[in-house]
Parts: sequence; structure tokens; C-alpha cells
Amino acid sequence: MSENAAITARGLNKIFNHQLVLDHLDLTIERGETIGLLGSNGAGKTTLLRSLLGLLAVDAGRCTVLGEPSASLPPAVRAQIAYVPQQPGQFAWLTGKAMLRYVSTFYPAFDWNYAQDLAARWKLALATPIGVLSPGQQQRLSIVRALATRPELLVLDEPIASLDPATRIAVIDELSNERKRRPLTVIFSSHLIGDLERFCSQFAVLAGGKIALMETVAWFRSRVRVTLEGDEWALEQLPIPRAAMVRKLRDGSRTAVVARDDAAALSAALPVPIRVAVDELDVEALASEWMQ
Amino acid sequence: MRSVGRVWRLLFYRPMILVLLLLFYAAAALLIVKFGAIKGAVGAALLAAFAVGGLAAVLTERIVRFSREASIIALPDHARVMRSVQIGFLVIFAAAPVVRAFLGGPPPLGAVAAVSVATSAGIVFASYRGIAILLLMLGAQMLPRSPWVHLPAVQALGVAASGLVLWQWFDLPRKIERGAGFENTKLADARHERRHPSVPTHDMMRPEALPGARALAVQPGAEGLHGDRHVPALLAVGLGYGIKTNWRGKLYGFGVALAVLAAWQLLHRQTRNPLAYTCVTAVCCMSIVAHVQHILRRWLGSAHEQALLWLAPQWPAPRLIKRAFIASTLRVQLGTVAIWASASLAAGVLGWIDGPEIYLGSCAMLATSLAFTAAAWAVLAQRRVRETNLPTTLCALTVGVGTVLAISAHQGLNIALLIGIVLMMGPPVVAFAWYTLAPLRFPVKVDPRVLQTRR
Repeated sequence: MSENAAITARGLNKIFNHQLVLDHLDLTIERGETIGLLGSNGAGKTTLLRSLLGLLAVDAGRCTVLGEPSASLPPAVRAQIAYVPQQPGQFAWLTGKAMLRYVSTFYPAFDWNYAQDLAARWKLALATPIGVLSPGQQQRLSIVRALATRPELLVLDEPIASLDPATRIAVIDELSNERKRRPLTVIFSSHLIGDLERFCSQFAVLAGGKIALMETVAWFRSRVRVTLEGDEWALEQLPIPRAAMVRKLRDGSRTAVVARDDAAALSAALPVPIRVAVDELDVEALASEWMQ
Repeated sequence: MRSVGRVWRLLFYRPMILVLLLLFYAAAALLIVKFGAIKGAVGAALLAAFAVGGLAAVLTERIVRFSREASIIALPDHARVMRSVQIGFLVIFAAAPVVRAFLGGPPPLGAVAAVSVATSAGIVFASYRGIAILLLMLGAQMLPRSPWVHLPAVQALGVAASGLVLWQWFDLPRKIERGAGFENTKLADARHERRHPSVPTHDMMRPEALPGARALAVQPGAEGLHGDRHVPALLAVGLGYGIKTNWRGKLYGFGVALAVLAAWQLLHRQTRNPLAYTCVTAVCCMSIVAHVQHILRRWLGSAHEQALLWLAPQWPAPRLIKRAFIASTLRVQLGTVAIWASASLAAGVLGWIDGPEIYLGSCAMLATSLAFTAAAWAVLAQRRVRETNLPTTLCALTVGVGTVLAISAHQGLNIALLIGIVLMMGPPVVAFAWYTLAPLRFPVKVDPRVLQTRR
């Protein structure tokens, strides 16, 4: 286990309604990294994030946050963590200003000036009750609350799903600027991979209850998808060296994610009955290969 | 046949309902066969009326829920299906006993009145629980002593009024589907564009309304909050409920209660009649239930807020949160108890009520407070709050039995009174011990169906 790890998880198991959501999941996130957590709907992203923060009791395994066990985080560590949940509109009965004031009561490092500045820049109506704000405004307010606590670890669970493109860019820019100003580790769960690509250094793909893949954005950009069609038996026997993922399609053909250089070598070395097509895909399409 | 199947599925979606119904019928059969307590067609209809009233309440609650959900997914033809269910229900559970009563002798209007009034009472109960309970209590007080209930004209009036309720009931699915569809549009991204925000702002949302909150925050760590009296207020603001007693409102409440008692006394100067005092007590009991249930609902419905607060570094320690919850459930009852005690004292001093009535009222108030406070503690002591909550039912039943024993044995200290007191005090003591010893569930883990039911 790395000394510099912001988050570690070992053998994490979580069962919901007799269904294994997290299956002996292992994960290490170093301090200062920005991880884009990807996964299909119901893959267990929220469960993973809540388990990591100790908000959900796991059935097996252990995880630590900033060196402390998640199940019993001391106040000093909790002061370094900020969490933006998936559902906007927390504290619906308070106004934005009252909510920020209330939350600031529990955070010694809460930066009230920064919160007001950010709220003004993001055109947030702090005097309006949160319950009557639009979901997008509620999400913005939730991000303001999290950032104003000046965290070292920021856990964002689909925080930009309801935001318009301009605000999404503004949020990503703000996060990038914060990272430049001070050490910040971010786990950012989202389906908007294009936005994550601008901000994250790595992507972790959650599939089948495990982290199926964790690679840098540059790694994804250097990959292509090859589709192999032909005789079923020949495809079964075919070795695809250094393929990151091989998937059998319903019609019997195979798709594989390989490095761009390997794709050319693979095409040249294939036996005659097998046809090959190389697709230059964007990161979103490539990442979705693991989610199918 | 399909309609009968639907009635069956809607009514007996929980086996417990069927078991209770069968138990009721078994007890009724025992009463008739063994003791001959209830004879004749009207008697049988009266027994059927109790069952059909309860079932009508269950069915109405299900229809409301299903119609709302059907509207959200725009299920076609759902209102018509629900209407066939309503007709099936009336044929099986309301018409059958009435026909049986008709076959047994001369046409008894009383049988029709009993069944139809009970059905409409069940329907009203599902929609307006508080008012229905009040009306039922009034009915229980007045009807046995009222000879006019047996007048054919009064019975015919009851049947006509019930017919009106049933007529409205048939239109209920369509109305809800229309209404819920409209309600759904409020969930759009433009709620902020409404001219008058419907979400009430909390009376304690201003930071200055949190005395000592800032002072608490500067103390390092949750341990700095030890024993602090502000924790219940902090918790109330975070989870969205109030614990402050509005004494001016309570004073108005006391005035209204006294005015009602005085007016009743003026009307019944010759004969002593404690009906108004019973009503005042019933309203106070309902107020206690509403206050405690509101806190519990907010706890169950604020898991996301609780998650955020749990992560806050200076959020109070678990034992302080537990203590604050217990204190909150007791504090919100103070005002209501004060109104009731003052009204009882005033009425007693003025000679409007006697010792037995005050004793009865005290038992009712104490039982309500004990049962619902214990139930709230027991609910939050559980690892996961489920839709079917056995501890709540057990608390209510045990305290209820204890209260009946205590009321029936109020003359002198005897064994029945002691058992009654033990049964009344048992659930809160057990629930308190359970909640105190169990680890704090924060955020509370709630079965999503519980929140759906409460919504």
C-alpha cells in the first residue's frame, strides 16, 4: 500500500438485495491525481464512492482515506474531504446563504469569501430557498459548498449532469484552477466523458463490480478498436497480443481495443479468412467498450 | 373474475391484512355462536361494517398510490381498471352482507346504513385521517346514547351521504391521474420560475437563530460539543424540522380549547356531558402524534443531508446526536401537553369536568405520547428501516392494552392497574435502552418503499 495514497481499497465487497455490486474491488489513488470514474448505469459508482467515504458499510474488505480507515475517519481527515452527492437539492428548506453558513459552522477552514465569490461568478441566487432552485442551480450550489471547505480530497458523484455546457466548462475550469493553486485529489464520477477528458489525468472503468481498467487519458487516446470478422473457429484460436479488451459480439465477430501500432501489426499478421477493420474512436466510444 | 383477482391483489398485497381480516371474522363468529352476543341481520351487517370500513381505507390508499404512479408513466386506461376494482370491492364486501341481511327477514335499512356508512368512513379515513379519527371518537361517544340513530329517516340520510362519498370515490382514480400529471410538471427544470415558492423556509435558517453555533464550531473536534444544549437545534436545522415551541400559538390553542369547553358547558348546563373535553383531548393527542411523526419523517427523508453532515469534521459525536434526538422528540410535545394540562385544570376548577374524566384524558395523553415516542426511538434503533415496521406496531399495541387495563382499573391500586402501568411504560423503556445501546445509524438506512409510502 502506497504511503502517498489518498485512497486505497482492498477486496471491497458490497451486496445489495442479494446482488454483488462490488466484487473484491481493489483501487489505489495517489495524492494529487484526478480520476474520472466511469461505468454504466447501476455499475456501482455511487456505492463505491459512498463505501470509500465510510457512508456505506461494506460486507468485506477495507479502505482507507488519507491514511485513515474509512469506517472511522477522525475529524482532522474529515476536514480534508468534500463530497458532492449525485442528488442535488440537499437542505431544500434553507436558502443557499443559510445552508453555506450552516455548513461553515462545522468546517474550520471554510472560506466564506471564496464561496460568495464563486456564487456570484456562477450567478447563484443565495437568497432563494434551495428547494425552489432548478436542479442545475442546486448542483452548482452543492459544488460551491464542497469547494469552499478547501478540501484536499474532492469526491464528485455526477455533479455536472444537470448543468448547461457553459456552466460545465466553468466548473471544470474552476476545478483545474484549484488544482493549480493547491494540492487536490479529485474523484469525478460522470457519464460526460468529454468533460472528464479536459480535467482528469486518469480514467477508472468500473464494470462487473471491479475496476476493470485504470489508465491515463493519453493511454486511451493512443488506442483504437479493431473488429475481426470471419470463421468462428479461426477467431476462437486467434491470439490478439497486448489487447486491452476483447469482446465477442452477437454475430460471432470480435472487437478488441489495442494500441494504434499493434493494430497495424495485427492486420498484417492475420490469416486470410479473417477480415479486420480498424476504427479510430474517441475516448468516450473506447471507454464504453468496457461498459457493454 | 379479473376484477375479483384485482381486488384480491390490491387489498391483500400484504398477508398481514388477510390474517387480520380472518381473525376479525373468526372473533365475530365466536361472539355469535358462543355468546349469542349479536343476533339478527342488522347485527351481522354491523360486524361486516367494521371489516368493510377497514378494507375500504386500505383499498383507497392503494388506489391513490397506484393512480399517482400510473399517471407519472401515463398508463392508458388505468382509471377504468381501478373503477372495475372499486365495483368488485363493493359487490364482494359491501353488497354481499347487505343482500344476506335482506334474505334474513324484512328489509333492514339499518343494515344498509351500517355497511354504507362504514365504507364511506373507511374512504374518508384514508384521505383525512385526523378528521376521521375525531369523527369516529365523536360517533363512539354519541351514537350508543342516541335513540335518533334508529330512526329510518336518519338511517336514510346516512345512506344518502355515504352514496355521495362513494360517488366521489368512483371518480378518485381519474381525478388523481389528472392531478398527479399536473404535479409531475412541477418537477421540470423551471421550478425557480414559479412566482410564489411553495417550499417553506425554515424559521431557524438564519445563522443568528443558532445561538452558540459559532462558538461551538471554534472548539476543536466533536468532543468540544459535549453536553451542549444547542445540539438539538443544530440537528433540527440540518434535517429540516423545528423544535422550538411557539408559545403564542399554544396560547391561542388554549384559548380555543377553553372557548369550546365553555360553549359546550353553556349548551349542556343541566346534564353533565364530557364530549367537548374528549374532543379537546383527542385533538391534543393528534397534535402529539403529528409533532413526533414529523421529526421521524424528516430523519427518514434526509439521508443525503445526513451523509454530508456526517463527513463534517466538527459534527457532534454520536452519543450527542442520540441524546439530541431523544430530547427533540420530547421537547416538541411540551407545548401540546401544556395546552391540555391548562385546559384540564381550568375545566376542573370551573367544575365542567370531574376526576374520572381527567384521569381518562391523562391516560389517553400519556399513552399517545409513550407509544409514539417509543415507536420513533425503536424505528431509528433499527439497522435498516423497513416498510413493515414491527416495533411500531408492537409499541402501539402494548401501550394500548396497558392503557385499557389502567383505565378499567382506576379505582384503587390493584393488580390490573399495575400490569397496565407496566405495559404502558415497557415499550418506551425498551425502545430507549435499544436506541441508546445500538450504534447510531447516521445516515439512516431506509427502504425506499418507506419514503414512497410516506410521500
